[in-house]
Amino acid sequence: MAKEDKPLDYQRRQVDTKTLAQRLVLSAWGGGHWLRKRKWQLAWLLPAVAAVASLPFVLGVGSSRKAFTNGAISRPHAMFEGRCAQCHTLPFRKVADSACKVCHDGPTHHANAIGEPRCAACHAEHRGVEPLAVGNNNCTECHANLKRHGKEIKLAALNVTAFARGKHPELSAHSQIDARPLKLNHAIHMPAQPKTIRGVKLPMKCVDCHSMDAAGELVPTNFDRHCASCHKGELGFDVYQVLGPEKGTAPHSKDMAGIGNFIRDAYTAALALDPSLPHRGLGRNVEGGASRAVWLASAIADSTNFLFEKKCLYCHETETRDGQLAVVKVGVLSGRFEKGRKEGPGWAKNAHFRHRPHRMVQCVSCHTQAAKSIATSDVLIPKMETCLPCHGRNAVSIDNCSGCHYYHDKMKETERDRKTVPQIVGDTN
Amino acid sequence: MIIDRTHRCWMAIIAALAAVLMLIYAAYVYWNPPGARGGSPLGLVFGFAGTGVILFECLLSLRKRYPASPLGRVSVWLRAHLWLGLLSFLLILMHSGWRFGQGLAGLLMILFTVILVSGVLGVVLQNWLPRRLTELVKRETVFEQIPQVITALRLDADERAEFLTGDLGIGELRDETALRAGGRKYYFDPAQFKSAMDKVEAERQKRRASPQIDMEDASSATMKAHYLQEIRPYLRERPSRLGKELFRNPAAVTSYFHRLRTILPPVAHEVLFDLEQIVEERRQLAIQARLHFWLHGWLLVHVPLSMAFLVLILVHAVMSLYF
Repeated sequence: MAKEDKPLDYQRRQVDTKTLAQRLVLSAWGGGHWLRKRKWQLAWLLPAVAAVASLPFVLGVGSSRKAFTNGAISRPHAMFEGRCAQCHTLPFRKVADSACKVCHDGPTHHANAIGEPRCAACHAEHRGVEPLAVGNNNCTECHANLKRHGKEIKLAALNVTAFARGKHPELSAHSQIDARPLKLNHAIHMPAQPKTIRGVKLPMKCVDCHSMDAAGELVPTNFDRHCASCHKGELGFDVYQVLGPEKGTAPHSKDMAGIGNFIRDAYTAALALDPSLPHRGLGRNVEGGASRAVWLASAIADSTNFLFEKKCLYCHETETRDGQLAVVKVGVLSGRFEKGRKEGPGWAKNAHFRHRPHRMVQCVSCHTQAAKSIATSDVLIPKMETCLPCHGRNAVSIDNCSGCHYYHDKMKETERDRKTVPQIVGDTN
Repeated sequence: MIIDRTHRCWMAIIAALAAVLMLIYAAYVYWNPPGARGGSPLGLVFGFAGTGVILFECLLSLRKRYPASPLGRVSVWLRAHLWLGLLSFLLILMHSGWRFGQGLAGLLMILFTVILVSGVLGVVLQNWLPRRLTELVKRETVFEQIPQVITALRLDADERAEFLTGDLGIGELRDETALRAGGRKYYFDPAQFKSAMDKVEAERQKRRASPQIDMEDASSATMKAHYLQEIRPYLRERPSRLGKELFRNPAAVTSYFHRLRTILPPVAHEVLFDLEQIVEERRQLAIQARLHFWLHGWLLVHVPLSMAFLVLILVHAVMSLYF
């Protein structure tokens, strides 16, 4: 066989490290794989896209700057959404108090406080749509060590850290007495055993005397509204049974002269209707058949004395004023009694209390001593202990200091000038 | 980067730093009522510290570009990148007061989370896939050279099939400066090895002229049909769907060629054994390409997002301080 006709020898495939290495093509080494190329293409493209896309926001096109807020604006400030400059008046500076005081007065807390915080230190914005809640820590930051944060402190509690035993002072009202010159006996009105007096079934309910207004808040107890239905008889001056129960009952009034006039008019009218009245004697003082004038003067004087010296004393105390006997003024039956003031301050010196949020609780749950109280001087406001089962242990909204205490002295608050929304947000169109 | 015992020191340092930072944060929140937020003094400190760490993280790309840099070994940079990256996320969380926020701040937190998750995924993949690659791919090659190696395997397979079938009628152009996979390597420098080139070309012509291994025509036609319809399409850079199904695992490859050996005469078996090796190698290269994609594909997310993140951090910092 010629060499050309001889078939080619078949050589088996050999695979070893050397041949595996030799098959690599050095000339095809550069350039990298598509994965690497694509990675770097994207590494340039994405930042460029991000930079370009940021431009309208940085330049503040429309209300695009909302994108830079780190939380929703609170509902009361919703009108400022997208109008950052309303509060952020100076670039690279914190929100100044002056920006807040355009709308809010925010009177000072205590003049002797050292280092009054900025408004925004307590009222932090951009934390959700709920109104700017103040946390307990905002208060305890100073009240945990009042000596350091104030000068000439008069408060007894210098280290208040929470509403809990040993961390919060006892409620001040409990240690006070009610000096109101009025005779009130809760126990008589709420006997343990049911009974009926003057047609009224006892025990009475708290709301019979302590009623609430449309807003659910307690209204001051008032004779005409709350007492008259049972105690109208205490105003009866018809000592000689001449006028009858209708006409012989004086109005419940602070106007002593007016009551005197009422009595005189009642007897004068009665005498006009029945000229034979003087024929009836008036006890031992005036015998029957006296003159009209004598009879009338005696009837008026005896009735007035009877009313002021006996009947009024059922509830009131009397005093001599301008040489005449007069009932001591009791003022509005709400809060503490201060002589000479129509309405005294509330029982809580540094706090406020609202009954409405507590309406789901029975009155006696908190006012535990009400049914046993026999003296007006008893202040039936509960001790702090009564509040603790619900407050001060859950660290929820009902435990907030601001639930009972105001930071800003509302008494000093001045009303801001009423403005329209466009005026506030600076939109003159 | 393999997480091994050399990382213990880094882990301990970062854990200690994280604990100290958490204590500082807790103390700050306790003593400062509103707590640490982005704009609070400590929040700003956390923000600047976190941004500093993030900037350092991004410098890793630069460090890799200059392997001879005197600024420490790349392996140390990688360890720092990994562990300080985790710490930076903690710093930014404390900067934001553990909130994701909204607007740009929210977007940044989402981006950072994606970057962090992609990075952690990358570390996990880099610790798991190389071992898996070693198990599954016995003849691993340089990833970037896979297309060239596949071409070489295909050319080698063509040559070997032509021993049984003669001219396959493919007419694929051969780059003579390229390699031929399968055991022999010829560098054809036309100036020096012209005679060798001529010899190879002469062999090729002879092989194509007629089958060099004598078989019946029917067997030769069967081999040609199997090769052109099933084997060769699988040896392309993008293998056929049929090929992927036929050669889905080593058992399938063995089974396929076992069946071929039963229908072809024994003289063809040596060629079939070699073709089986080539197909198996191609299958392994497909696995390598797939695993390699997962091994490095996370960087497609991690790196570009990190760069965009840097830009947005700058915008966020300037605008937040502005307001």
